[in-house]
Amino acid sequence: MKNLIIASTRPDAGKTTVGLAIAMLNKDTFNYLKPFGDRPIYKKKRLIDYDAKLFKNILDLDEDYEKFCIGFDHSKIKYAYDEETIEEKIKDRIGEMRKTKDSVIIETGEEWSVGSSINLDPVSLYRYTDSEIIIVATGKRTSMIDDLHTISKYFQAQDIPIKGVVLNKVESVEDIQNFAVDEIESLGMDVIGIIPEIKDLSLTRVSFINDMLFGKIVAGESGLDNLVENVFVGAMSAEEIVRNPHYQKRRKLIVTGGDRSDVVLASLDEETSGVILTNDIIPPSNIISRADRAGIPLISVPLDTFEAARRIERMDRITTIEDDFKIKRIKEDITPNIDIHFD
Amino acid sequence: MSMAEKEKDLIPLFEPDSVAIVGASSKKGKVGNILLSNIVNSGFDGDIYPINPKGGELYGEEVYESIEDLPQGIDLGIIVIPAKYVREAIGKLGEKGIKHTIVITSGFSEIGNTEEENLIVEEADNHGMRVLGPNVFGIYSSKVDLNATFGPSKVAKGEIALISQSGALGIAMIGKTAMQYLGLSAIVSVGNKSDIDDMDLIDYFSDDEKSKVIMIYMEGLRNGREFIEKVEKEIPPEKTVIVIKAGRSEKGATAVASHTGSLAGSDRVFSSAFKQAGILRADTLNEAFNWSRAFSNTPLPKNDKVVVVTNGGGIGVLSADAAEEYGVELLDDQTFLKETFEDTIPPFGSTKNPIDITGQAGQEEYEKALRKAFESDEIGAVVGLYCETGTTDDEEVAKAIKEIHDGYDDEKTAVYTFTGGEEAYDCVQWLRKNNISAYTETYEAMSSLGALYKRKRYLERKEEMEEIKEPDIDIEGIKEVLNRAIDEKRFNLLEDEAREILEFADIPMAEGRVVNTIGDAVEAAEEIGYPVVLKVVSEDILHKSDAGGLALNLENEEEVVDAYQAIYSNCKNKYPDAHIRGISVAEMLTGGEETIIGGTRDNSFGPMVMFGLGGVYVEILEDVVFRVAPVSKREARRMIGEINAFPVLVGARGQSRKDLDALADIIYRMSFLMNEVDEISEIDLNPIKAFDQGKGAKSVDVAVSIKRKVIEK
Repeated sequence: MKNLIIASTRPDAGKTTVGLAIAMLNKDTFNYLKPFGDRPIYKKKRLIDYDAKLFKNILDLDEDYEKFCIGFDHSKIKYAYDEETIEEKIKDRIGEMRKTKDSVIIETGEEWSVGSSINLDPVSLYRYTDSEIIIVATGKRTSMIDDLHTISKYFQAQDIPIKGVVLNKVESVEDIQNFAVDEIESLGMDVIGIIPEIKDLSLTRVSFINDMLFGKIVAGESGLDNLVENVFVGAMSAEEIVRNPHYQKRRKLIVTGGDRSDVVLASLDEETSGVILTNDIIPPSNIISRADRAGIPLISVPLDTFEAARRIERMDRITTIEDDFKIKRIKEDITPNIDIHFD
Repeated sequence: MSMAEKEKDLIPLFEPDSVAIVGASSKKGKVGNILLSNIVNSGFDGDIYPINPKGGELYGEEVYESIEDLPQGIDLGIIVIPAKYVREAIGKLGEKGIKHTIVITSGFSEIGNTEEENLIVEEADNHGMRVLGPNVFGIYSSKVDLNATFGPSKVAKGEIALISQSGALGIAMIGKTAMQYLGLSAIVSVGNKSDIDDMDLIDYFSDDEKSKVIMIYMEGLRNGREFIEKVEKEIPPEKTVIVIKAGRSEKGATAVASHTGSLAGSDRVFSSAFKQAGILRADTLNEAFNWSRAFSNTPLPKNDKVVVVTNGGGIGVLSADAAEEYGVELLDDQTFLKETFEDTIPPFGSTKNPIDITGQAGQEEYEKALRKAFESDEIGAVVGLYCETGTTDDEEVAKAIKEIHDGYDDEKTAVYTFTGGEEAYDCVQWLRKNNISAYTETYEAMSSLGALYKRKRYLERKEEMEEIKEPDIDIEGIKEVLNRAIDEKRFNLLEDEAREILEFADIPMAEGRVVNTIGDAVEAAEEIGYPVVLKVVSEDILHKSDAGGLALNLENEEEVVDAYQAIYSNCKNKYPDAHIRGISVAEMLTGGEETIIGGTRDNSFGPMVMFGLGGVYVEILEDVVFRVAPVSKREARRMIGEINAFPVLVGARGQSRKDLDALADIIYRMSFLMNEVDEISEIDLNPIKAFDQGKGAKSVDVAVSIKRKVIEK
């Protein structure tokens, strides 16, 4: 059985989600390799990748965490390998992984061109390994088709076939089926999955936001698993905030100055998942106690309110091993939508 | 008229032979009326010249219609006319040869009218005249029995000179001191300090034989450094300066980036600087009065052994607690105590210190025990605690105390408290009236004794003080490094630059270098030797651990490679706009206690040096001490001894003693660095690892920032 390279047209297209959905078709078949890591966590003096952690746990893989990635930084790869040795490294790693599994899902960089200069792009990986390529595409219908035209020209020029395309996070499955599938298939690429946008997959936990912001948990540790769906910036008066229709939304994360005791106090209701306190200012102890009692995490960050909100908004809301509900949705709603057969 | 030479001597201000009052008034309740009344009725023997256009006579004194009518050669002018006429009056008084003038009138810089105040000073300067004020309540001087204030008319005479920056509080203090039989040698309010300021007054009172205590109510200090230098140099050992500094909550107004800067709230700096100069800082007015009483009535203790004599067990226990709080050492030689007091203590009493004669004993036993304590040369100070009982007469006890004091010519250090009702209070007042340091509360007495000891210890330290030798620091080299950053308009030095500065100052630091590739990081780690530390180098990221820019204890190539990538990724994620100059690879120092040594600049006191318990919790624990730079190695050693965690450094709980000399040497060098290199605004060496005795101390991390003004220039 061939390995499966998963590449994407754009960042955040859903390679990991699609890879996971495919792996779930048969847990015992696949191992996982992400040669060029891009979602690092530094723990116990080693650098590992969030996605590797997810696959290792879902697929019950035996390898140590650091074995799933070759490096996270161009300079590291360049320091440790040249064209020849990187090929050897990839082949060795795949060889090791295939000793216990039939195939390896190889997840590439955040978009299809990433890793070219260090020979970890989809084309190089295809040449080093006995693999088939799946492209995950996302975006508006027209831009998605443009992306796939470009990719098709590029891969055809290299004489590399594409096994299939997964169209992910589409606004209207019907629209895609009626107006896109034929054109894509005319490029010689099978559309093997059309997956609608699943809102739950963009939910994230307060603890993940805390990790990403390098925050300090001031109170409400018991609520770190609370889910965040909406982000609300508490910049006006507490009275105005509670009247604001956006504030009424559920599972919200409030971002406000650490000195805005009025806003923090007003936020401590059951629809609040957590509060980000900006400018490294800690509120008075009575507020901390109330947040503790309510199980609403208060997280202090050194950023100003604008910057904190901007980063949360741009945050890559990945699926981690702790996100049971997301894993369940992938298994139930995405896996059945992918039609893939292996030789 | 050209600028005349300024009169330096303030004697005519405090000891005038003649006084002219511009604005003397016949209207009761007006400042000009109260002032004249106080001057006339205070017993002032000199000539008085009231001035008012209406002329006539006031309080038996002839009133002059204008300044022009005054004779030449008057010592002191006092102005109480509206602000807009003050400048003209100053000029006219100057024409009459008056060299000292008090401007009581307000309405100048305190309300924003700085321009007119400057013009007044300019006018006074033209006549070589010194100005006290404006916006003051006047002065009182016991030397010539002059009460030239518009405050209470009765002032108790004594040995305390009171300087107040607040007019209203100063006036209130006159009444309060009188009520408490606290005698004053002088009272002066400095108001807007347009000319005469604290510095001039320290000059005068340091020579004034009538003033034993100089008590200052202070809200701000323009030139703190000069002030403490003057106090240190000019206040003789027999005098004491006590300051009540208001504004404890005030924080330094400048934004600071370093731990040292953020810990150096102006109040902490004031306390440290005062301590360094032997100035006692009281928290409250009452505390200042209590201490002033002790210094005015009581000699400094001859040794550190204190004995408490009490007729109440409970109050004795309280006194032991208070003694600990105020750094008073109770004599603990049981054999000596037994031998000394055995004969005087009833069988049910205790010769353990506090000496408890119990409530059942009478005045006779109490007096005997006190006498024993007074007689013994081994005992440096006596604390007499008396509780009202049914068996003794309070008044008799008070009289006995006075008798003992008379017998010893007030040469023994002793403080007392009487606890009880009205009679006990009356006894306290009676003793006070007789210049004995009596209090109504045990803590007050012990705090006052503690203040006497503080002064004693300061004077002992001062005797030991040596000329501070300059360390061998390459100032030119340091300036060259700074100039590179200044040219690039960078406020914060990069790590390799900061390292260079420490090298020029001969301050040891963990070995390290800055690299820009993973390969170089591995090479550096191998040269330095594992384990190593990796840190981000960026002027935009000051607190590296907060940014995920720090990886510790890396033991092999793989860990260095991963740490390098993690640091880049973390820092770029947390500070996307940060300019990352590289990664520092440094020796991982293991063991040792983490301390911090820093330098900062205070608006009033200038360069300061700080020592304390270091590490990431430095701002939470706040276990730090400051000094005005530079300091000698001996003073640096004393700073180390002042932090709460000092026992940790000398080997608490079976730990080994740390190399305190090495720490002191770094503090000493840091203080010179701050003193000599004006471009530096702050330095943090945090942590500095103090290793075992003889093994030195090394800085793990260093942050140096440059003064904003220097960069902006």
